[in-house]
Amino acid sequence: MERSVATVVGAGAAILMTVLALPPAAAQNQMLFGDLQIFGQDFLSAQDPALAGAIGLGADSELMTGQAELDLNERLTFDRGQLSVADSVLWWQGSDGGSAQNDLLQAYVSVTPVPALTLVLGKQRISWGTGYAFFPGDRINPPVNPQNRSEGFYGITTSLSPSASLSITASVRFDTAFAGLAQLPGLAWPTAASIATSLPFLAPYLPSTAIPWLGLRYAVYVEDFVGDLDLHAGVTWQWQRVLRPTVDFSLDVLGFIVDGALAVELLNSDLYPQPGGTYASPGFGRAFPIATFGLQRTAATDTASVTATVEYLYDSTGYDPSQAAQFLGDLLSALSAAPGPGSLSGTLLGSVAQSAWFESGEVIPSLGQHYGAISVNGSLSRLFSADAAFLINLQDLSLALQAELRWTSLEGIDVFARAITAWGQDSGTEFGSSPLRLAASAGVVVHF
Amino acid sequence: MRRITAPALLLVTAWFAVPRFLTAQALLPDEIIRRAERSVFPDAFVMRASLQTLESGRQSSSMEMVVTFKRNVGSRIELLEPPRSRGIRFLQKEDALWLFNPQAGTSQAIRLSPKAAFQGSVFSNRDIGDPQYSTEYTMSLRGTETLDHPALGEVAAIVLEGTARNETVAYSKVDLWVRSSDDMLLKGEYYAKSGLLFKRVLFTGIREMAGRERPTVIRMVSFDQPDRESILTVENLQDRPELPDSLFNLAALTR
Repeated sequence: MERSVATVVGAGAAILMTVLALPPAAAQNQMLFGDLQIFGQDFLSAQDPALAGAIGLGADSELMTGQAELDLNERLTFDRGQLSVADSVLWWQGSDGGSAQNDLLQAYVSVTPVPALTLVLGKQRISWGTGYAFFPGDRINPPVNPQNRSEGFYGITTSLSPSASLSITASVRFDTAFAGLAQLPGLAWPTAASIATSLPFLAPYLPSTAIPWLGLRYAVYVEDFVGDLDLHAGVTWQWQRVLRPTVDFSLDVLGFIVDGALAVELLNSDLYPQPGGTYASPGFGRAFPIATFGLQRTAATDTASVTATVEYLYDSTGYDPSQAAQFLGDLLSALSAAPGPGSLSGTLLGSVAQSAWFESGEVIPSLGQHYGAISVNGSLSRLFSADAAFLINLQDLSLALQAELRWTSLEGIDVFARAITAWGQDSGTEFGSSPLRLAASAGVVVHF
Repeated sequence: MRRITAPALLLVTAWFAVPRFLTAQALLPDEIIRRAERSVFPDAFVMRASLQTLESGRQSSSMEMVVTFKRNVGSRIELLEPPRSRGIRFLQKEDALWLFNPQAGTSQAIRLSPKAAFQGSVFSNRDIGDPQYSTEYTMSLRGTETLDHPALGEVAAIVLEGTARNETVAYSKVDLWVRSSDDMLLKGEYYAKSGLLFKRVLFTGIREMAGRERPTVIRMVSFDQPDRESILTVENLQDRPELPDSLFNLAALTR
């Protein structure tokens, strides 16, 4: 895959730069940490050969693999800045062969010329939102990739923090200008002609060639802490693609952490299936509100603790559930044919296809309109932990579930068993239409 | 001669003891607690510390951390050990607490309740970040008494009683023992809303650090968790008055 080559090269360059160009000895502080997971996974798909093929199983509905996954974080801290790299490498071996995938998640340099000002350049993510499962206003960070990894965006960010309570962050994302647009029908870099159509008064001043810089994505985000209220507001904009203002909050009410967000997409560029197999986006002129509301509470005894989180999402950019199955099938085909960063911006269906998207906690479902997320995490005697997380489509009552049991036998070594499944009454439901039936895995994690 | 000596000794004793007692009486409780807080940590510091939790005398967990603190601004904690927690950061400001795990895969910090136990220890999240005696409790002077301190022996101490100013603080009442001679914090007892004694904390391991003599071992026992205690040991403490406020906001936490 072309993209894999790019990320391998990117990761190699970043690591080389870390090791050679900026020797750790020159840093005030070096921190290297991560984990190595070694596990076996059994993946059962729906009995539909077309869907099984779309997610890389060929005509089979079952795939057993042995996998190893290395997550690496390195941070070098200097007097007025830091260099940070996060990388993930996955090796897997199945009965029909093996492969490796590298994901350079983040690699950036940050500089703090004066205490209140930070500049960040490179592949990065920014903090956006106050929720646990849903971040409706976040259109600057990419959604999780098909390998269930939260990659950053290539760009530059400036953070101004005049006080401990207030910070103002402005980001420009570069990669949206150079990838993805051309991979979906009907989208390309803006041209003078397309701009002149929308804004005729600019026509005399526009160049005759394509204008890739209009593919840049811009975001401004303000965080303020007032009393006990954590208040965030921001907006993301990209020419003909995104215009989404948002307000988020969180509040501690008698030990319950309450969070909520309201975003409005004013320029919906998601592609919707049309009769005849074509796609179209609503574009400017129709407001799509998206709202979340959540509660989180932790209860603890001498030896056990339980944290429960419930979050609701209303997503008006969602599709009619009756379109889901058709759209999912089309999308999976498109995925296997032409994957690429940004090509599915705004949807996580690519990740649904891989079935592991639910793990990340960063979910922006695009199908349906009302969702609930429930997460329960518990630990017992600091030796055992159990996590269960549900994502429920409240309209068709289909759901996805991930559950994990973990035994912490020694310092730095965990043993786990994990299952992910999707369920719906029939294939017309959102999760019932998923090719996933069950992914079960068990293995060992070594932390370092 | 003997008739003269005894009154003279009394006079000498009174000469040294009374002014100190008067000083304690003269200082307002709020001033005493502020001086006591500063006897443990400076107004702004970076500290490397370890936290051990023992159950029935056996170590059940151990962690290393770096704490960055600025009084009336906030505190940050970054975990260095154990390996599975390495890189996890906490930010506490006023009544709010956030956790950021760089390995969780998201860029968001999660908001938590500051009253919850810190990483399974007897300390609450707030105890580690900033107990905020002077800002969260209304202090009154309960009196003076001789404290039997495990490291210092019998010590003359001022006893302060703090009542929670609002419902959000970790404890409804705190009693604090402060050494009369230099306002060093030596002992605390924390009460639950029910009025029951909940936790006891002892400040020991007194040694020179960051420019003055300070307690460097803080031992907390919980009465509702029998045979369980946590010990915070300060390994290194730097007085850092120049720490910028901007270090304590969410944008900085997630970098």
